[in-house]
Amino acid sequence: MQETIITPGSGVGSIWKTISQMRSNFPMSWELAKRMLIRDIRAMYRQSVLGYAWILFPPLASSIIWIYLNNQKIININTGSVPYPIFVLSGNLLWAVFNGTLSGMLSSLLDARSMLSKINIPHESLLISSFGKAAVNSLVPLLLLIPILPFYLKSFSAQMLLFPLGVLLIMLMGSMFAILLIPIATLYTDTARGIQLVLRFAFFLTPVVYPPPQAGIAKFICDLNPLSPLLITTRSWLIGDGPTYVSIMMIATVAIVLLLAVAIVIYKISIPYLIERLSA
Amino acid sequence: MSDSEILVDAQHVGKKFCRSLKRSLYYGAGDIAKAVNPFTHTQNDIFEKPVLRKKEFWAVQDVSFQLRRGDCLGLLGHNGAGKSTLLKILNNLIKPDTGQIIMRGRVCALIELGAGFNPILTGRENIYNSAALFGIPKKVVDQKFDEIVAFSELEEFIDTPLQNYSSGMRVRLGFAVAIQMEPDVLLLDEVLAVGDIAFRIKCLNAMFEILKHSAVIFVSHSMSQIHRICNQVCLLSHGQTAYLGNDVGEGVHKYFQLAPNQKTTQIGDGSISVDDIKVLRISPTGKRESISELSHGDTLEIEFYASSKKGPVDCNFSMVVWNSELYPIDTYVDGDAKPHKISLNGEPAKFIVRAESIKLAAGLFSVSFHFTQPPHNKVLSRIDGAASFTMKGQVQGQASQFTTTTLTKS
Repeated sequence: MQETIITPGSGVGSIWKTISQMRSNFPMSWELAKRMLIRDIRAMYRQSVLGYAWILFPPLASSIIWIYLNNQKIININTGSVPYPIFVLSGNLLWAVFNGTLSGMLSSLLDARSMLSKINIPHESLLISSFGKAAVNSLVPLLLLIPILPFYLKSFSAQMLLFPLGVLLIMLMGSMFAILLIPIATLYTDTARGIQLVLRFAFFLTPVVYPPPQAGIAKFICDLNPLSPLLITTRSWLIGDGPTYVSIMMIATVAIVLLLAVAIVIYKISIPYLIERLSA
Repeated sequence: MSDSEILVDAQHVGKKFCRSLKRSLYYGAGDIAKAVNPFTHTQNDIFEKPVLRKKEFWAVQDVSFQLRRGDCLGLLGHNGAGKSTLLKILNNLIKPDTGQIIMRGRVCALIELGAGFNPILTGRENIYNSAALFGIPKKVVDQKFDEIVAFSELEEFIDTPLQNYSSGMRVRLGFAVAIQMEPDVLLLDEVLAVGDIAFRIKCLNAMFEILKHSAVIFVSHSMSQIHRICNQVCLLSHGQTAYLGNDVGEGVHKYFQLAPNQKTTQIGDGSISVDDIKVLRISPTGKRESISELSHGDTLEIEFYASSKKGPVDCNFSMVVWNSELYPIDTYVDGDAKPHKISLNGEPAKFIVRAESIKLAAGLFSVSFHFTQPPHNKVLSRIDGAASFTMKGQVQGQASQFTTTTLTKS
């Protein structure tokens, strides 16, 4: 018979215990996450006429604004041989992938707050289902590129096959930041507010609607920004033009996967402490 | 009995909470930092009590008990005694600060029905969601779907969005799913106290089925349910165990003893004042004592002084006894089932109500006096919580009696 021992313990022993617990719980977490994802996706737009079309509108609207501004010469962004519309649309969609994953997953624990203090579930499933939800919300708009791309691109390259890999890496980076921040964001609402503010600036400080700057402070900030190389490279892979940072991408992959693993363990360990403070 | 049959073994469980939100969050952040730091020294002795930080208090302290299969522990205590906290620790939702709990087998907690329901989805979809949260695989739900719907008696509304359900209907759906689990340890928090009477009986019967092959911990404020279901009682008071044992009647009695004194409220035109109310117990041997703890078969006397502030008045007097769930158990009237007729004037007169050989179930009872004026029974004065008494003993349920009282003026 399964035996659970509940003690105040902490330290290395309890960290290993947590990891082995997550491993043995995985089939159950997966099943539950699937169910919660189906629930959330079904409920998401049921009370709306346009329904799932709402997934597409925000990145489309944002892109149209930028295309309009550039077209009317209110701003003047030179993207070289790449047509601006496809440049800004792909940039916006990739930004939405990062932004959606980060903010969606950051609130996953608080959204389930009312349930957490009543039922004991494998809490990893909340991460899996919110990752799935973020994936649906940000990957579906990418399908827009399929009918639009042929209008602007003369030829297709093998590089394009790397694009999904880049998207996945951006998603993983977003979730890594989110999961690392969940414990503190669940305790203090400052975190979520701060992140929203930072993301609003980050949109302009990341080469989303403009190509990577070549000099000045802008270049310095762009170089510091961990998202920049991922976004630039992924976009370049898609539209077949622009700089790619393959070695940085490889280092980033290893770093993100490692940090993600650490973040998930920290998340799992902190859950009982969070429930205690949320529902005491 | 062999040791392996113990399903729940709680030893010196303690939990501290913090009174201030800001501090609580700060401590929480600190605790997390400590817990994720692999270099933290593991507490050598888990039974050693850590010191309280500023503004902290012990919400649960030094609670120990053991449960075997087939046992049902009633967890009693007044609001804020630490019952829900203890349940959360047992359910492994929060960590204890001291002590250790060993749980064997599948643990299931019904702390609130319908957790995880989504109002916009239909009853059908919510059955699957709720089941997934309890860890019931989809295949099993597919098989048992009709059974679940039949239990909830919601066939007609199963494809209606949950937001159009009444609260009773939601509870039915929640319970119908929860009952499908086959737990070894079941934690129940007052979920039976809702729904209409027919469904409540159905739930109780289903509970008895589960009880046969699991260990149950049952939190309730309904003493009749505790009497019916439990074979052990743990009474918590300010987080500490005030009683633990197999004598359910004794536990319930102690629970009532801990009850804060009831306030007396008076309604009516206030023209009648009552003072110096005294409760007397007269044992079958004839011994008179001024205590309010009665045993089965004792005679109850209540003494009081009454006077009329607005000159002489003729009025009716009756006494109503309420149980702890505020059901009127009995109305004490005269031999013809009519109120006693009394005359009052400005001078306080002493009255003695005598109810012979009381045969009520164990519990706490509250007494109210009614003074009404014929012919239209205008309420001159109604005094609720005028006095209270407890019944000791093993008699369970809500046994009631209709007693004739005598009223003497002296």
